[in-house]
Formats: sequence, structure tokens, C-alpha cells
Amino acid sequence: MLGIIGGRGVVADSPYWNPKTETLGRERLEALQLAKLRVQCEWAGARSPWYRRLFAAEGFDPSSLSTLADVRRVPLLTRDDWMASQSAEPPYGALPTIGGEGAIRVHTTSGTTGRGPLRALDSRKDWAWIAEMWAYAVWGCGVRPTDTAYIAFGYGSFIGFWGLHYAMEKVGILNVPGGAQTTEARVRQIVDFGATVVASTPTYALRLAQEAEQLGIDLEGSGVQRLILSGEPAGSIPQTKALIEQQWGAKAFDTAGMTEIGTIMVFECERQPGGTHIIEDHMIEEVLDPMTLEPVAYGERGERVVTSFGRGAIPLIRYRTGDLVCRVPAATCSCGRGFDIYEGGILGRVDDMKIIRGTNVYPRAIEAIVREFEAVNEFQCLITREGLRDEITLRVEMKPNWGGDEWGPLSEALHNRLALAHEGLNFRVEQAEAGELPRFELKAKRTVDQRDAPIGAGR
Amino acid sequence: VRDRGRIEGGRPMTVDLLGMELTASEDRLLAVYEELKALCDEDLPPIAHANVRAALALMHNVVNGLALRYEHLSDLDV
Repeated sequence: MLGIIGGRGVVADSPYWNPKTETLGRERLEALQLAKLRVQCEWAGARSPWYRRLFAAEGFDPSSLSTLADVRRVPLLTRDDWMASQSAEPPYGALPTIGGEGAIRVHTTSGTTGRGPLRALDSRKDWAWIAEMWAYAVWGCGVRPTDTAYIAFGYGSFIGFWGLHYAMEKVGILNVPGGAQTTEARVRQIVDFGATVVASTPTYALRLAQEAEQLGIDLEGSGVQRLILSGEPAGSIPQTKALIEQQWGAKAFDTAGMTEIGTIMVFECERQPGGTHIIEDHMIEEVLDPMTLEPVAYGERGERVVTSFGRGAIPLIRYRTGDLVCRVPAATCSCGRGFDIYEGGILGRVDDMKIIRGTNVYPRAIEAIVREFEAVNEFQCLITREGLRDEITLRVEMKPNWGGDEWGPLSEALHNRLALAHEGLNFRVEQAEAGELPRFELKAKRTVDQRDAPIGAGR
Repeated sequence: VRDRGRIEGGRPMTVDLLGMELTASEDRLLAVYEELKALCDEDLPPIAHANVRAALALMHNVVNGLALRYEHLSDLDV
């Protein structure tokens, strides 16, 4: 018999998804982290062959954890460790606490680094948790059940925005899955369905805007109010973010995650303090000097090391991420959360710095400069070795309606800005043909270093 | 981690992972979670077997997020 169910509760008018823990002070937050750390380490040591062997070899006993600082006594885990284990004991290695029969999903890394992908198993509970972390971000950036979301994502084995999709459903948002579509079809669907929220990588948000312009579709006049960005550091590069917001006429919110934990670990709140809040009730994030492995102070750059309390199938304890971050106190933001902040989001990779004739060059810094030039449509940074000398060339593709006779002043301005930011380093600036440079839907790779590549590679 | 042993006024009292007494709503949420766990031990038809586990996976988010309980559920196939 059908009936109408009365007495529905009211969703609290809260800016926080989880007011109880998001507003905890530092002392209580760390007490919660310690309680969960003990459980996670005991679980890993008892159920994961990898951790059982590691803890025994290092003489680590989970019951000896008495303060949060004791986390530093837990041995570090690297991606190479995980990959080696996966190769030695295929297909999943020795990290999992369950086999494929106890899992409901398997996802992989994107494989954009050229190495083989990691394979990550998830149980029902773990998968539900993955969506839950995205819900912190969805709610935190002001998305509500009255919104309509469009997720411009391929929905393949790469984990990407899968968790966001389920978070949107959980929150009660009408969700349009934008998989298996051309860019043109996606732009049209965004408008046709009246999407108010769009999720994509920063690069693809720009690509969608380019496509809309070519189709004569006014995105600024569309209903899109918010963009949820992830997958690349560019979501927190102020110049790139400003460009995206200008092209869409909407606010952009950065998030960052990784396949190894299955979901996001940081999100940008509505107050937008210039960084992303760490979801600290579900993770411990350390920032270490990548050389000494000693903790760095607030405001100093270092490598992210994450301990996640989410996955039971693959416990991730003190995992060296290779992400470069700068942590600042929660009070930097006025939103009231007790979660600390990564200022500027993920700043890049510890190992993505290039040295050109003695000068340090970061892809993020190049992108920040290039995005100041509105006429640039796409770019690529090519590093080569000519004889004994390293050269760096910025190749830029201009917008279709750009006035070609302005190339001289523009290239000179680009050259001068790049040199000024890099101790006078001479960047060659070249114009690429329209459509010549690669486009990206996921994890843009605009810096191509050919110095170590075999002859002919990458040509 | 969690004190379930205290009795006050004849009623079981529980505290969360931070040592705070549960609110009335938290008490009920935890009871639902525990009931779902208990149901996982029952011999259930497929429709109940699967959906109880799906519900338990979601309820774990509630009790974990509210700092009421933190544990893994692989032994229950969840």
C-alpha cells in the first residue's frame, strides 16, 4: 500500500557537513585522531600482511602509541613500496586486509606518470566513506539539495570524480553524469539541464569554456554558480582560478585527493581563505622536510605524508605522497572550522622542480604567469638539451579571434615576465598552430622534459 | 576506546570517542548501527542480506563521523 510518510526531519541550517567535528578545537581534534590511529594501526598490523611484516621488522607495536606525536614512530610507506608489493604478489599485493572476494570495487591511478597503475580495493564501508569525504566539500562550498550538478568526467577505472558523484546523490542533488560525451555535448548538456554546479579538472573547465565560446554559448549567462575543481594543482593557482571564474561567471572551489586514499583530503570552503581545509577528523596530515623527514613548522613548505582512517581494505598509514604543501593554522580562515589549511592548495610535486642552467623552475609558477595573458589559449613548456646547454621553450597557442599582429609585443612581454620570475633565465617563446598542443581532460601535463628521454621520444 | 560499562539510573550510558556523553539522537543512531550489525549475523534472504549491509555501510559514516564509534567491518562483509 502506498502512503505518504509524515514527520520528516529538517536538515540543520549549518554551513558544516559535520558540525560536531569540523568545529573541534586542536586539542580535541588531536585526541580523536589518536584514538583512531590506535585502531587503524592495530587493524593494519593484525590484518594486512604488509603491515604485519613491516611492524615486526621495525619493532613497532601499535599499543605503544600514547600521544599523537608517536605517529612518527610508524614506518613510512611509499608508492614504490606499494608498486613493488603489487608486482611481487599480483594483482593487489600484500597491503590489502581482504581479497577481491571481500571487495565491491577496484579502482586504479590514472597512469599519467607512465608507471603502471596502482590497484585499490574497496569494501562496501570503504566506498561509502569515499563518498562521505566528498560530501564535506560539497556541503562546505555551499552546494545544497536544490542544486543540479554536472560531472564532466569519463567514469572509467580511474577513481577521479566517482566519489563526488555518490556524494551528490547522498546530499540529494540532481546529478547529471557527464561520461562518454564529447566536449561539445557536455557544454550543451550543462546548459540544457540547467546545471548550477559543474565538476571537472581546472584544465577541462577552461576547455569547456573554449568550446562554449566557439559554439556561441554564453556560459556567464548560464545557471552555473559553482565549479568544483580537482585533479590538478591549478585549482588553487590564483591566476588560473580567476580565469576560470571569469569565463564561467561562477565561483570556483578547489579540492584535492588521491587514488591511494580513494577520495579527497582537502576542500575549499565558502570563505575561500586562499587555501584548502584538511579533513582532519578522518586523516592525519604531516608535513615533512623531504630530505630530513623532520616535520616543518607552520608556513614552511614540505612533503605531505598522510594517514587515512577511511579504508579498512587497504590501510594507508604514513604514506609519502610527494605533494608539496604549506600548512597554516585553521584560524587563518574565518569559517569557524578547526581544520588546518594548505595555503595555496597542493603547490605541486616535490620532484616536479626543474633545474635549467642552475635556476629552479616550477610548472606552477610558469602557469601562474601564462594565465595573466588572456589571449593565450593553451601552452606547453618544453625542456631540451642542445649540446651541453639546457634550453627551455614556452610554446603558446593563441585564441582563435586573437589579433595575429600583436605577437611581437605579447611574446616579448611573456619572455620578460618569465625571466623576471626566474633570475633572468632566458625562455624561448614560440607560437604554436591552433589545435597543435595537447588538450587534457585529466591531469594536464604541460611540462615536457626531453633531456633524459631517448632520442626521438616525445617528438 | 568507548565506555559501554557505566550504568546510571538503571540505563546504560555511553560516551563518544572524545569522552563526551551521547545526546539522545546519538544514542538512537548508535542503537540503529548496532542493530544492523546484529542483523548481519542472521540467516537472511538475499534481499535483506545485501540491503542490511548497504545500510550498515552508510550508518558507519554516521557513527564514525560523529565520533561515536570507529572500527572496520570486513568481518561482516561490509
